[in-house]
Amino acid sequence: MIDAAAPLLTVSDLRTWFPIRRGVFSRVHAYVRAVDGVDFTVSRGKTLGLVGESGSGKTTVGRTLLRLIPKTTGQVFFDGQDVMALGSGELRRLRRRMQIVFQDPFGSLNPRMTVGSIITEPMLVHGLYDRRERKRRAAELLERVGLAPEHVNRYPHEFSGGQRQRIGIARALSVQPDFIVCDEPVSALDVSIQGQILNLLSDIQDELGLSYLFIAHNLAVVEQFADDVAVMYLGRIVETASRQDIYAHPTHPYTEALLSAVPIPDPTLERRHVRLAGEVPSPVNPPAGCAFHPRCPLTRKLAQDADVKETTTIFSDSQPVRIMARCTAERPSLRPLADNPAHCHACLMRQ
Amino acid sequence: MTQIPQNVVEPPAEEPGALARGVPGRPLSPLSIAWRNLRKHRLAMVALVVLIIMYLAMLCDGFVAPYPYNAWDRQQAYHPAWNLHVVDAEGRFHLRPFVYVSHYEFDPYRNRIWREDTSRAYPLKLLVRGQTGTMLFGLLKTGVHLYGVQAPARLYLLGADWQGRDILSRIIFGGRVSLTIGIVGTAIAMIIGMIVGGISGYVGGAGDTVLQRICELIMLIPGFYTLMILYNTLPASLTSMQVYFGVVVILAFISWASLARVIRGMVLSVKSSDFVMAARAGGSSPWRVVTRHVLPSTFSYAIVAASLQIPAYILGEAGLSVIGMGVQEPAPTWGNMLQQAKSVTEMTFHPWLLWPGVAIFLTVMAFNFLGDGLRDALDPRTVGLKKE
Amino acid sequence: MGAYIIRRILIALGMLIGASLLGFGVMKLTPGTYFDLLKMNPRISQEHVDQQIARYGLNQPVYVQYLRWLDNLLPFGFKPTESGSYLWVEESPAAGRPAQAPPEDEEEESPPAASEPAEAATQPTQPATLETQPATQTAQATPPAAGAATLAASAPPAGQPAMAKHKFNWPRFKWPNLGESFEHQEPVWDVITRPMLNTLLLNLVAIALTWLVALPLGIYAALNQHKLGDLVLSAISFVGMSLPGFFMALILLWLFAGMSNFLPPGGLRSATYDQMTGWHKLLDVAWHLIIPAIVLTIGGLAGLQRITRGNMLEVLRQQYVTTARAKGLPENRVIYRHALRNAINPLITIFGYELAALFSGAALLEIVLDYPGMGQLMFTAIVSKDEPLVMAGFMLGAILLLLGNLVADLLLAVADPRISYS
Ligand SMILES: Nc1ncnc2c1ncn2[C@@H]1O[C@H](COP(=O)(O)OP(=O)(O)OP(=O)(O)O)[C@@H](O)[C@H]1O
Ligand SMILES: [Mg+2]
Repeated sequence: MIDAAAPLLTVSDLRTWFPIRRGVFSRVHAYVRAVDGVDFTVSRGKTLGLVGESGSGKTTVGRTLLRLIPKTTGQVFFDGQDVMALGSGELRRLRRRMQIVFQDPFGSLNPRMTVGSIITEPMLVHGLYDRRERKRRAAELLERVGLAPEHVNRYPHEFSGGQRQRIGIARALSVQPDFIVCDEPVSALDVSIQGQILNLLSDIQDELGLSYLFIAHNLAVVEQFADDVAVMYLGRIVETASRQDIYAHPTHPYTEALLSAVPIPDPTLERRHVRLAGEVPSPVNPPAGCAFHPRCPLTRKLAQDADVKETTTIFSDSQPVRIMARCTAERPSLRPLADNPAHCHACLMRQ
Repeated sequence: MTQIPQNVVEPPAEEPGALARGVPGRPLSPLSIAWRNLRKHRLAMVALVVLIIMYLAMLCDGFVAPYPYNAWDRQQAYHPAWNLHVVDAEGRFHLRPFVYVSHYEFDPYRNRIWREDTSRAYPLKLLVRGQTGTMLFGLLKTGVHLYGVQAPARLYLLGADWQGRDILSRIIFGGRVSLTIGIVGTAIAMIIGMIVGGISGYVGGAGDTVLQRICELIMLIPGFYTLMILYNTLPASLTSMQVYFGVVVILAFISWASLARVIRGMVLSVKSSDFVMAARAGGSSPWRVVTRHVLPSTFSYAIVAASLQIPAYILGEAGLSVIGMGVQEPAPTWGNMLQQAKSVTEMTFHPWLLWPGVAIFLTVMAFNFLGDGLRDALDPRTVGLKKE
Repeated sequence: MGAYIIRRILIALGMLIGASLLGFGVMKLTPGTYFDLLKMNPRISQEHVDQQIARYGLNQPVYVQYLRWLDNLLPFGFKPTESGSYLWVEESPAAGRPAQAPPEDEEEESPPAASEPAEAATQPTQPATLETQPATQTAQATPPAAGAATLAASAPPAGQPAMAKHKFNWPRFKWPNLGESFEHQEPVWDVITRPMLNTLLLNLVAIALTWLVALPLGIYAALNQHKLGDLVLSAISFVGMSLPGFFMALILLWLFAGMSNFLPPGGLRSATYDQMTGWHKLLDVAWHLIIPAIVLTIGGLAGLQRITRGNMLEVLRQQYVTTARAKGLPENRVIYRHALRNAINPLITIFGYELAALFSGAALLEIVLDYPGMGQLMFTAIVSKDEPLVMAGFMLGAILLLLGNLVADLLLAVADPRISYS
C-alpha cells in the first residue's frame, strides 16, 4: 500500500460510447453515450454511492472501470496502478483485488455450474489454495453469507433471488478483494430481503475493511449505506458530496428531485415533492448544454422572472416551455461549492 | 487480509419459496431437469425406446439376425416374405411356428413358382446355432442366433434378394452404416461448427467476417450436386470402411456451416450475458471463459440441432446409395439395398425388396420425434438460462 | 432499399466466384478426365482423343483451365486469339495481314455472332478451322506445348520471322458462354435448356399443388385445434416429413405402375409421344407428372401446413381479432377478413426458399424416377466428368439459391413492415 490517505480508486474523465452499427458492412452509424465524462474517487474503506435513474449509465461506469467493457477515453487509477494501461496478465492479477456483484441475480450465475464451483472458480483461476482448502473456504463463505454449507452441490436455479445474490457476494469475496463494485445488488429483490443483503454487505465491510462502489437508482438505499454520494444523470455526474451534505443541502435540481422521492421517516419534517417533466432523453442524442435542461424545474422557474432575452423556448411533452438560454448553450462542469470544497455540483444556475 | 470469521451470526435467510423446487438432499442438475421434462413427452419417449431397440439390434447384429449379411443361396433367390406357418399341410394347428423347405420352378413366362416340401416341418427355435456371423461392428464372432430354423430350411421373414440373402438380416446389418452415419457425421459437423462458431462469435472482428463468408459460401452451393461431385472424387479402390468415412466426411462438409452459424448466434448472445462477464471479472482467461462458460451454454441448443440433423445424414447416405453412390455391395446399407428395388419390374414381382425403406422411414421419424421432444425439454427457460 | 439491394448483389457476385472456385476445385480433385474413358476405347484413335484434350485445354494447369472457364462465362473479358493466347494479340507480318485490322478484331465487333467464332478460335487444332486460317497452321504445329504457354506471353512460334509483334489483348464485351459439353459435343446451353424446362415444369406444378392443398389444410387444422381432424393432419405431417421422397416415389411406382397400370413407370413422355396430337401430348405429360408431383407436394405439404396452422393460431389469439369478435362481427368474417390475411402474409417468404430449391431440390427424385430434368442430367454429367456441364448446373443451382435467399429477405420486408433494410 502506497499512501494510506490517497484514494483507493480514482476515475477521471471516463467515457464509454457504444457504437451503433448499421447495414451490411456494419458501418458505425452513431454512438450511445452511456458514460460521457465522469470523475470520482473512492477512499479506502469507504463506500461511494452512485445514484441515478435507470439508463443513466451507472452499470456501464462500474463495468468500464473494471475493464469488462472497453473504455472510449479516460483514466482509472487503482491503488496507484493505471488500470487502463495494464497488460492482460497484469489485469488478471488485479482482478483478484477488484470484484463485482451484479445487478441481476438470475443472469449472473452460470446455470450449468454448481454453487461450489461458482464460488471456487475465482480462487482456482488465481491459483489460490489447493483443492481441499478451496472447498473448505467455499463452504465457509456460504455460511458467512447466510446459506448452508451443504448448498455447494446445488445449482443456481434452486435458489431464490436473494439467495442467489448471496452466492454472488460469496463469489466476489472468495479472492479477498479490496474493492467491490456493487451494482444495484438489491434492486431486483423484495424490500424485506433488501435489508438483509445490505446488512450483510456492511458487516462484511466492517470486518474486512473493503471499499465499495455502491450503485443504486434511488437515494433511499444509499442513505443508510454510503459515505459519499455521486449523482449521475445521462452519463454525467451532476453532484457529488458526503452523504450528510447531499441529504442536508442538495444543490443540483436533479438531486433535489431524486431526494423528494425518498420517503422521510420523520413525519414532522416536510419535503416538497418535485415531479420531473418528461422522460430521460436518449443517450444517443443527449440534449445540448446541460443535459438536464429539458426536465429541469429550476431553469423553468428562473425563466419566469428573467429577462426575455436570457430565455429560450423548448418543447417538453410537446408543450412549449420557457427556460434559461444559458442552460441549452453551455455544458456545465463539476465545480466545488465555495463554502465546502468536498461538495461539487454541475448546475450552471447555481455556480 | 483477514480470514473470514466464522462465528458472526447472520439472520437465517427466510425467503419464501426457497429450495421449494428441489428435492432435499438431491441437487437437480440442468441435465436431470431436461430428462424429467423429456419423460413427459410421450411420443419422444416412444421414439427413444424404438431407437434404443434399433441400436441394440445393430450392436448385436450377428446375434439378432438369423443369418450373416452375406449368407447367400442362389436356390432361394427372391424367396417371398414370411414363410412361417402355424397350420400344417394336413390342416393341424401348431403352437410353435415352423417353416418348410421350399424351392422354385419357372412357369412358361419365366415367373418363379414356389413349392414347399411339406414332408418335414422345421420349427422356429430360440437361441439356435447357425452360420457364424459377427457383431459389435465385427469385433465379436457369434455362431448362436436369437432365433432361426435348422438348415436346410431357411427363415425368410422379410423375403430374400436376388442372391437368396435374407432381407431382414441385411437390414439389421445395414444399421451399422445407416444408424451410425448420422451420429458420426453430426459429431464431426458439430466439432467443426463449435470451433468455427465459437471463434466467430466470441472473437468477432475480421476473423468473424471471413468465417461468416465461408459459411455462407458452403450454404450457397447446391447440396445434392455437391454430394455427387464429392462422392465422385473418392477413388474406386476404397474398401467399404473407407467409403463409409468418405461419405460421412462429405455429408459433414455440406452441413457444418449451418451449425456453425447457429452456434455463433448463441455464442453472441451468451457472450454478453452477466455470468460470462462475472467469469471475466473473476479473472478467468479467455480460453477458460469460452470452454467452460460460453460453449457449454450452447450445448443444449447444439444437442437439439444435432438430433434434428441426424435424419438428414441418414437420408443423405440413403439417397446417395440409392443411385449407386455409397458403400457398395455386398456390405448392406439401407440405401444400397433399395437400389435393387429401383426398377418397376423388380418391385412389382418382389415388393419385399422395399422393406429397407421402411427401416429408413422409422428411424427418421423416431429421430424427428426425439428431436422435437428434446427441443421442448431443453428449453432454455427450464434449464435456468433465463428468469423463470 | 436500393443501396441495400446493390450491396447484396455485390456480395452475391463475390459469393458466386467463391462457389465456382469451390466447385471447380472439387471437381478437379478427381484424377483423370472425361477423355480417359475414350482413350481406352480401341475404336477411337489416340490422336483424335489428344486433339480433343488439347481443344478443351485439359492438358493445361488447373488454374488456367479455371480462368478460361471464367473468361468464357463473363460478359466482359479476354477473347482468345487465333494463337490461343488470351493476353497477347500477334501481328505477324508473315501472315500478310494489315497490322491495323487483324481479322479477329472484325469478328469481335459483332457481338451477337461472337460466341460462334470465339468457339472456333479456341479450336486451332481442328482441321476445319485451319482451312480458313492457313497462316496459323504453322504456328500451331507444336501442340500441346503451345497451350501451356497461353497465359504467359506466347512464344514466337517456330518458323515465324522474329519480327512478329505482340499487342496486349484488351478485355472487351462478349456474350457469356458456358462452354461446350464434352459428351454431347454441343454448347452447354443447348444441352441444358430442355432438362431445365422439364425441372421447372415439375417444380412449378408441385409448388402450386402444395400451396393449394397446404393452406386450406393448415387453416382447417387451426380452426379445429386439438380436435380429431387436427390430430390426424399433424400425424400425417409428421409422416410426410419423415418419409424420404425417393422411397415414397418407389412405393407409388410399385402401387400404381407395377401392381396396376394406372400410371407410367417414370420418365416424362411415352415412347409414342411423337405420334400423338396436341391434346394427347399434353395429357401424356400430365400423366407422367403425377407421381413426381405428388411426391414433391407431400414433401413440402407437411412443413407448409404446420406453419400455416401455427401462424393462424397466433393471429387468432391477437388483440385485433378479439376486438373484431367483440364488435360482434360474424365469425366467418372475422376469420376470413381479419385473421386470414395476417396469417398468410408472412408465408410469402417461403416462396423465396422454394425458388432456391427450384433446380437442385428434386435432383434425387428425378434420378430415381428417370425424370429427364436437371438432376438426371447432372448425375450423368458428374459420373462421366463432363466438366462444363457440371459447372453450368452447379452455378445455376448456386445462382438460384442466392436469388431465392434474396427474394425471401425482400418478401419478408414486404410482409413485415417492422423490418427495414436501409
Ligand atoms: N452493450 C451496449 N450496447 C449499446 N448500448 C448499451 C450497452 N450497454 C448499455 N447500453 C446503453 O447505455 C445506457 C446506459 O446503460 P446502463 O446499463 O449503464 O444504465 P444503468 O444506469 O445501469 O441503468 P439501470 O438502472 O437500468 O441498470 C443505456 O441507454 C443502455 O441502453
Ligand atoms: Mg444497471
